[in-house]
Amino acid sequence: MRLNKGSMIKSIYLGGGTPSILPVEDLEKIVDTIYKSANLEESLEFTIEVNPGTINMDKLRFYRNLGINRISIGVQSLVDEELRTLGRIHSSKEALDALDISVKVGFENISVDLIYGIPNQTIESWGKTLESVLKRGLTHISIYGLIYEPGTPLYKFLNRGMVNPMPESLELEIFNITQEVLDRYGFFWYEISNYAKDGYECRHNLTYWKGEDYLGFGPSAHSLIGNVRNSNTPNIKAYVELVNRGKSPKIWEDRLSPFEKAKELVILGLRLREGVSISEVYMKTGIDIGKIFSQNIEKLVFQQLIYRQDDRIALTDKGRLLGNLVFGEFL
Amino acid sequence: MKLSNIRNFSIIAHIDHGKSTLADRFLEKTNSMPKKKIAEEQVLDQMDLERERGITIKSHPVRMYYVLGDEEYELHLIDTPGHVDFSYEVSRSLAACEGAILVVDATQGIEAQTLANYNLALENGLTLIPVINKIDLPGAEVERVKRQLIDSLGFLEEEILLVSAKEGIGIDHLLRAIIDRIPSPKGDLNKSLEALIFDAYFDLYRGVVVYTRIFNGIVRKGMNIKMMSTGAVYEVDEVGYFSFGLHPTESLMAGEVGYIIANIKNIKDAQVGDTITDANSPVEKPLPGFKRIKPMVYCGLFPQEPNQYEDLRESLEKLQLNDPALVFEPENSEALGPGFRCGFLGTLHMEIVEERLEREYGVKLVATAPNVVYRVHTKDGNILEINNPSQFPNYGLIEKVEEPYVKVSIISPSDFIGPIMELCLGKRGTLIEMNYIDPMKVVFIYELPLSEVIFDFFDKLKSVTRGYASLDYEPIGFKESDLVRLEILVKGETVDALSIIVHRDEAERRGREIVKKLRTLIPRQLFEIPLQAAVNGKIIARENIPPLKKNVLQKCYGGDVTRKKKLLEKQKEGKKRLKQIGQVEVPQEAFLAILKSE
Repeated sequence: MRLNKGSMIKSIYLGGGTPSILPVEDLEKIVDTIYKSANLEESLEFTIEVNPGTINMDKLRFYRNLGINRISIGVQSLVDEELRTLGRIHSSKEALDALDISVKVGFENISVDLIYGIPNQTIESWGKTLESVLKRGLTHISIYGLIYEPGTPLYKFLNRGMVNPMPESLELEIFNITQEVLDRYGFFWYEISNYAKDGYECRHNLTYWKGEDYLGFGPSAHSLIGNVRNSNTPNIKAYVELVNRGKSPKIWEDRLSPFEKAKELVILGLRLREGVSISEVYMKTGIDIGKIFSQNIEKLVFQQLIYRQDDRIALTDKGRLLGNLVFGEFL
Repeated sequence: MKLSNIRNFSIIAHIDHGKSTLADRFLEKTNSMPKKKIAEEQVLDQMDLERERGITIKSHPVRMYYVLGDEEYELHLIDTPGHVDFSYEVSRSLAACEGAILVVDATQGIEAQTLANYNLALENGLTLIPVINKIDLPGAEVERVKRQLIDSLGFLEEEILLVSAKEGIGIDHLLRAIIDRIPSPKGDLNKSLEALIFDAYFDLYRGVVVYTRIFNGIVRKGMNIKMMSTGAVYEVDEVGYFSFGLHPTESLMAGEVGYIIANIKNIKDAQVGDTITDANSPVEKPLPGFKRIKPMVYCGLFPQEPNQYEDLRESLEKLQLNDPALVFEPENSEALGPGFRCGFLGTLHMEIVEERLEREYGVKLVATAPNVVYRVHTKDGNILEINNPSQFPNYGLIEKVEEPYVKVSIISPSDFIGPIMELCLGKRGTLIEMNYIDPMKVVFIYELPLSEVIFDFFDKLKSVTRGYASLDYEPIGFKESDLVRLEILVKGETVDALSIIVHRDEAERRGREIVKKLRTLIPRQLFEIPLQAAVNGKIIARENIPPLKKNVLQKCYGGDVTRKKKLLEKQKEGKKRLKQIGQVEVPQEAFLAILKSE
């Protein structure tokens, strides 16, 4: 894949899966290749996703020396029983260690992933997890409600009655408490599941939600350039062979019409607290969402799921938890 | 053909006892059709639906020629419908015959429809030839079935023929028995025309093709005929017989079975059971047994998409051209919008119509739960026939209510006597009789409200007898019952399409069941939805659907976008199948939820 001459790269993200298990020499090759072939912005955001138990002090120092300036740690929970339920291989101690050494090595931009709604999780156990990570000096946190996804072991256990799903009322209570705690620590929500201290919103993920261009490398990686979306083969062997023979590993491509692109901009943009600007969508695609979906927008405003401000529409607090009802109106 | 060389007969049997295969063998033995066609099996069941369900819906007469000794015989086989919904049509087909072959499966023995058909044949004075079929199967219990035929139906051992229609065993004997035992038709060519209509269908180009059996006289082209029930007169255009298509002949004579085409535009003018006579010298009275077809079961049919209303009307009209038993009138439901209240002979007939509308005419339907016709005597002395629960008068106006009852016969292995009696009791049944067909098999005669039988009786019967019981029934008229209208309220509004008529003692249990079921079927919405069941304005059951609080894709990043969009699209597809009732979106299944109890 080639970059257009003159394109500036504002973010690099090593992630999806566990890149921290990659030997540092291999990682160095990848990073060198990127540096050689791309124009990087001065304020580049360079993230690596790591899983507790796969890193140590030396590795993290090496990452910093490579220019990586943001670390995203898949903590999920700090209760061992909950981690086992989720099928995670690390312990709560390893998770805390990962966080501590990241700070020690000097990472100033640290993000943590947490999950709530785990079977048998309580308000107390969640509070402990949340406060323990926040106390260690994060800049960013992603918090997801547990989803029982078809095909996963947890989904199977649920269907066999082997796990007790958290009652919805408790899940909502935890969600509300979480907002208060985060507020106290100076975090604000900027995307449905993401919170940051002022100025630390993940620049990388914002490109997805704003429908901006990105290039993906590696098996299964997706890219979006303008209105063309494509993905690489998920088969690692095939991927290696294709690339070695100088062929494209792309196996799928989708060209979005202006209307499709516009709808996507709305659905993704509405995930953000700032919502989406109707005039920006119009400038990018020539489609007037405000006109085409005027009835849908009226209805959603009436249902108090979104609100209008100037030319923007954005989720209300209620709408943030019922996003699918909102997105569904723009399909 | 002289009368003494004609035989008119039917094959009667319980479902799957091998009636159609036997008919195929006859066609083969008499060289009535090319071999290739027989290979396709069961050529007489012509409609796709008939083949799929393994049942016959229409009558299929066929003429065969068979040589025995020095004589050639003309055999008319009238294949009859094989379901209780069509028992009137069966009885008229049987009335067109002098004899019938009673087929019993050697592995199953006598079943409920064996008995019902046997009784119909006797009522029509037919000569019966008992046949035990499938004698080649490993599970065949020939001796046991023989004893059943002798002990329960009064046949003599030497009358019983052993056959395997599939393997072609015993077919020649059977054909000989038809000629030897079934009387030739009697009739007088010189008398006035007297012919029975036993079926009819509508041909787009030729109008109604009437299936008829001539009892006296003769019918030929150009003659003026009169339908005795309506008095309508038609000029005969063509007569002939059936043998895989229509074969025109000069005339049809007393004793023969064939068809008449007389430029009849509406199938309702050729009613099954009616008598055709010579318009110029009519007979004095019609043949016995004529009944006007009356629907037994009603339901509302509504288009899923309101813009398919006209399509639905046209489709129903087209179906009605060939199905005089189907009736319909426009119905406007507050909940489901414009549609039709349709009447059927029974639930099978209803299912067939629904399936044909969807399959052949491409109309997507919302069907309400079926109900019977109620006779309401009001305090001011009127008698109302109610075929729609939402039109049931208010409690205060009702003097008494009557509902149709049926005589049900159930045949089952004797192991299940207890569960069957319990089931029938729960369905408000009265035991009339219980007899042993043999030490292992019992026949029950019950009187039950038809509404209970069409509700989920058959499924329940199958389940308590592990599929071994068989069932047949016939209407026996109306009886007084303590019936009330059970109303269902969704968010405070009565949903007319969800109302049902139930016995007062059952109202609370059914009400509770229905709201419970609806609670699982109606998706949560932005507000709380109370579900209530009420009788005479009094709430007897209540459930709440709590408001939807959380429904959001938690994660959505670069690689996910396409997959997540598909997920959202799937959610949206699901929403499309919802009907808006007031503020509440209700799925189609909800309207059928009241069909089955737990």
